[in-house]
Amino acid sequence: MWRVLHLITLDFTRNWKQPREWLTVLLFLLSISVVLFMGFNRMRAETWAVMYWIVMLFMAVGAIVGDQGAGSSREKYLYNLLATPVEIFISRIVFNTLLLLVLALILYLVFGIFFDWQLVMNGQVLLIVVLGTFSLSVIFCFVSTLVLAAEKGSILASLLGFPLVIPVILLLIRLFLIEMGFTNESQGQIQDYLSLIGIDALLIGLGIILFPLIWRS
Amino acid sequence: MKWWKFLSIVLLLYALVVGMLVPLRPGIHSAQPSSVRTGENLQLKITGYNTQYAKDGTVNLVWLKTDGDAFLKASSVSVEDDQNLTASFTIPDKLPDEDRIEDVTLLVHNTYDGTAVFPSAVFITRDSTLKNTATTWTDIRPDKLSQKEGFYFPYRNILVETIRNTFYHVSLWFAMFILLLISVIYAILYLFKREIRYDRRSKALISAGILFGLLGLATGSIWAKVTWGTFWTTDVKLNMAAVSMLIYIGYVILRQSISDREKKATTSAAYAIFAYFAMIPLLFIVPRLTDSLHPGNGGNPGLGGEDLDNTLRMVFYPAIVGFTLLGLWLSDLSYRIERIRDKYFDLE
Repeated sequence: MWRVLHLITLDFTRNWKQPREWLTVLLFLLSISVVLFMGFNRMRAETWAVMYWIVMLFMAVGAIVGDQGAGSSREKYLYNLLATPVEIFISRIVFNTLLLLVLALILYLVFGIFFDWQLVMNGQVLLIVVLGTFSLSVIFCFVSTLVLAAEKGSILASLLGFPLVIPVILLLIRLFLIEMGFTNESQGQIQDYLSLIGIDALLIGLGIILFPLIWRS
Repeated sequence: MKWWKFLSIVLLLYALVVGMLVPLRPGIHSAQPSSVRTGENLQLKITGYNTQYAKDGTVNLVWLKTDGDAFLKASSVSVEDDQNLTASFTIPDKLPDEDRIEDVTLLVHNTYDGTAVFPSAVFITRDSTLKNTATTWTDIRPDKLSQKEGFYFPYRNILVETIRNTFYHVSLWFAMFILLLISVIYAILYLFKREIRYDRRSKALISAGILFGLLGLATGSIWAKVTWGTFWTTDVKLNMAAVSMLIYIGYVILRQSISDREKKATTSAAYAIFAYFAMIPLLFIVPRLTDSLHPGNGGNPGLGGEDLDNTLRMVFYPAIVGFTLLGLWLSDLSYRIERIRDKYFDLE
């Protein structure tokens, strides 16, 4: 437990001292928002929700999968001495969720300014954003930890992550539209939340069982 | 040659021949007009399917039946040919259940064809004026109703002849689940025993499973075109099936991109376990939570119940076994090719 916390703080200090990664993602966020603003000018609610989660998806890919290739091999070696694979997996999920959450809120604000939308920000919307960033970081941490052995692991990780992201993104878009009041359909939200949590629990469980087996050597 | 390979050929030939050649039980294709008011005379034009209305010596009897088991017999029936007949009714002033609108089931009994049932054939609307008709609904059940004897597949509206796709579409998916389940068992065995042959088995089974899954998607898509009118819909079940196939295609990509044999085997074994456990909720839990057109989801009847009757079962179950054995055969061949390839490149 303490080692997990230690790993998280290690990640934070590393990202603070070398802000290249999250600055790259921030640059992506701002430029894609400008493109969307100039391209659409005015968005329908559905387009807005879809675009929000698509941009979130690519930010997650950039932040998490890109992050994996950043450390030098020496650093990775030290990491492996320091902690077990499960601890690294858990700490990466927590760190990336926090990072993505900050980026998600910035994106929400930027979208709000650009599209002059009457943005709703209540507990429910915040809950969806938290759950969404958590799900995205679970998926990409799982896949990128799984393929650490492969050459060009970062490309492979994003590729393998995409099919799994489809149901998650669809659920998030649906929940977003319901909670913001853009659709009349308002049944089965509890089930959608449960499905999201179920997918996350499944992946975390599989990771905890499988990663020690992979890294036994 | 092992016996089960013969068995798979025999079972699949049986499924193909019997599944394609056995005729459907006589049914009612359509009835016009589909709505009428109380007190009116109804001339119902009935089109049959596989029926023999005009055969010498047959007696055609036609009834309308409400949900509350009240019957109304046709006053006269005139036969045009084997498939077409017209039944005349005088609808009584009162509906038996005092509803405003009642949808009634049409029953046609024929000495050769047995009884054919057409649910919700006619909608009867209550008229405000009474016309003092002589006819009334009766609670007495006609005693002649019986299905045609012999080996026939059931007739279902909309599905009609495509009901035969049950033997191919559904069995392919069943066989795929079995093959992938065995592949997961081999993957787990590999992770514990670290013998490369388990990895080969797992990979071979997944390849066969992907092939069956893609064939299942293709047959399902053709079926959807006939029954729903489009090759692909936004239906959850269909899209989650596609997603689970994408996850499995990821397995093939993953294997291509790791060159170290040991690492490749370990990583892909872990991925195989993950893919199976991701597929099960995608296909069996998520579609159940939302509305789905696909049978077996969102309140639609699936396997079991009245939809899969005994004659269908007699072809459906052998087809599942046949496809599973064929898949095992395919994977065995691919396993041996892989083994020879590894030997040739001196990897053992």
